[in-house]
Amino acid sequence: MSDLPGGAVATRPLHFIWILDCSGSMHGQKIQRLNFAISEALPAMKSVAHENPSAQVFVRVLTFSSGARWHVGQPTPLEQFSWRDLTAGGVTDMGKALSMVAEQLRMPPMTDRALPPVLVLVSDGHPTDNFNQGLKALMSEQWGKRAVRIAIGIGADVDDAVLARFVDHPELPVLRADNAPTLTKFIMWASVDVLKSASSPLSRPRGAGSPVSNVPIPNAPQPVTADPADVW
Amino acid sequence: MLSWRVLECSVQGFSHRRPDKATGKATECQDFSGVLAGDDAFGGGVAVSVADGHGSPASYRSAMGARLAVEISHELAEQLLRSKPTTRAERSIAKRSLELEVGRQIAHRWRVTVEKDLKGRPFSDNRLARIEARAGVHERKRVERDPLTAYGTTLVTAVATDSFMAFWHIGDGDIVTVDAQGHVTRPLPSDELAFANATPSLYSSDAAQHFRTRFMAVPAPLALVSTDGLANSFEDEVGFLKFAADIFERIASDGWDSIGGQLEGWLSRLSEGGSKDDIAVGILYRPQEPSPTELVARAQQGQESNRVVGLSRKEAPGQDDQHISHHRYDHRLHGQRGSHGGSF
Repeated sequence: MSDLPGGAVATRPLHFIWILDCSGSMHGQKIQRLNFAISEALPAMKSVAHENPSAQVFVRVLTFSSGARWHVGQPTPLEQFSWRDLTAGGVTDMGKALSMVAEQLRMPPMTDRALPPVLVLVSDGHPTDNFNQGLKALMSEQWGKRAVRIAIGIGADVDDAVLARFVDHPELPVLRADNAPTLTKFIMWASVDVLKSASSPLSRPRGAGSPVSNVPIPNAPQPVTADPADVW
Repeated sequence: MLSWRVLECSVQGFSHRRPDKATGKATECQDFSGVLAGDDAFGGGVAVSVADGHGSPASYRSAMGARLAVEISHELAEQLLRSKPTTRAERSIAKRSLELEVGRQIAHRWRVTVEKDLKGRPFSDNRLARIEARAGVHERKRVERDPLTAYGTTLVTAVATDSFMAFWHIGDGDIVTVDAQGHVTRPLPSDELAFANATPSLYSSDAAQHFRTRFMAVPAPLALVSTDGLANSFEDEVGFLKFAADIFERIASDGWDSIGGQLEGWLSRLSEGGSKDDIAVGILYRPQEPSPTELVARAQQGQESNRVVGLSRKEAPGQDDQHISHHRYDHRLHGQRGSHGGSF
């Protein structure tokens, strides 16, 4: 018998999933900036995870355009994760993406000892498929309901209402990134500040008035004022 | 029949031992544990409790809340022990009283005590600003809306005498019992609200409704109560249940005193390798017939793989409580709220 009573010891898993719009309208500066922002945020993300050992962070990336596909489908330990640039083209099958995320949040493969997952949805447009069905699938899963859901809308054509329904948090707005520096700032906030908050093992009281997500969301940053010529 | 042994231990979480960047200080342990024993009026009965203060920036007085929860719980435990229910009728009354009163009494007394403390020490503007700076404006608003949030805690209590065993529990955390054959059982149904780091809390206005209770006419040889930092340190449920089973086996092989000297070290290592959270554990144990040597021999005869799986059925004759729990690796008793009593 091992010296320590009990079974195998393990840190609690925290699943961080990027859900990224790679439709045709993202082509050019938007997708370039998204690639840049996520890769720029990675070192800080890894640093905060290292400083918060309460969670073992696993990263995945799901993209949607015409259909949806896993860009990184295996839950990858954050310390081993590296960014591979995305390309854009096609329509905006956001509903399909949410359905695929829902499948991964079932138990199993999830367990009840996991920390609430973080889902970050980034989009510049309107869903072109059955968004309602996808959202319903996601919210039918316990971990879908309990996940921290962040939405970043890019540019003037984004469907705010749809993203707000994904977030479904009375105190957390959809983040609007109308220029490149703001997108970078928001991506950094989601990857670092939100991750740090979600990594805490602390239980929070559940009672009347509690937000659906049980993770305290840090104050969202303010957009960056940019040259009007640079506004998407 | 030999007398009950009881011990408790709480350790600071691994992640809390380093200074917090915002405050420059190590985070105070938010778990609290306590023991009630040694009074002749208890007739050899004992009680143990653990409580887990929420510990968030908004719940910055939850260490105190946890301590108060244990103290108040032991006031109720003392009443129960002094009443010494031994006959079937007396146990039935005690069971009913437990179901109806213990949650209400604890929640009420805790609230009164905390409100008194708050009145004497209201929150400063500086404190509220710090909550907002660390956790966001939403958390500040939460505390302003309901100041008792600052003291929020869970609570788990086990009481044992030769005549009965009783449990009451609000929030996350765990209670398991181990029978004479080493089978591990959860005597209370899980709380479905305690999921994804959410937990019912003593601070809630409806806290009394969230208590789960159990009165067992035949006490198990070992009961273990713990805050969620313990179970969250294991890869899965089976690993956690094995902790209780291993403790029982080690007591049988190495004696009760061997556990007390090692428990703190074990919990520290589990926090470091597992949850990183504070951990509090309480253990009630009474040596049973047959002898410890025989129990060890039984365990070595191949019952290791069955300890956490299969039926847990007490075999001593004349038992009133014939609860049978079919327990599997990923078992949770869903959907049963409130008290879960045996038969009398």
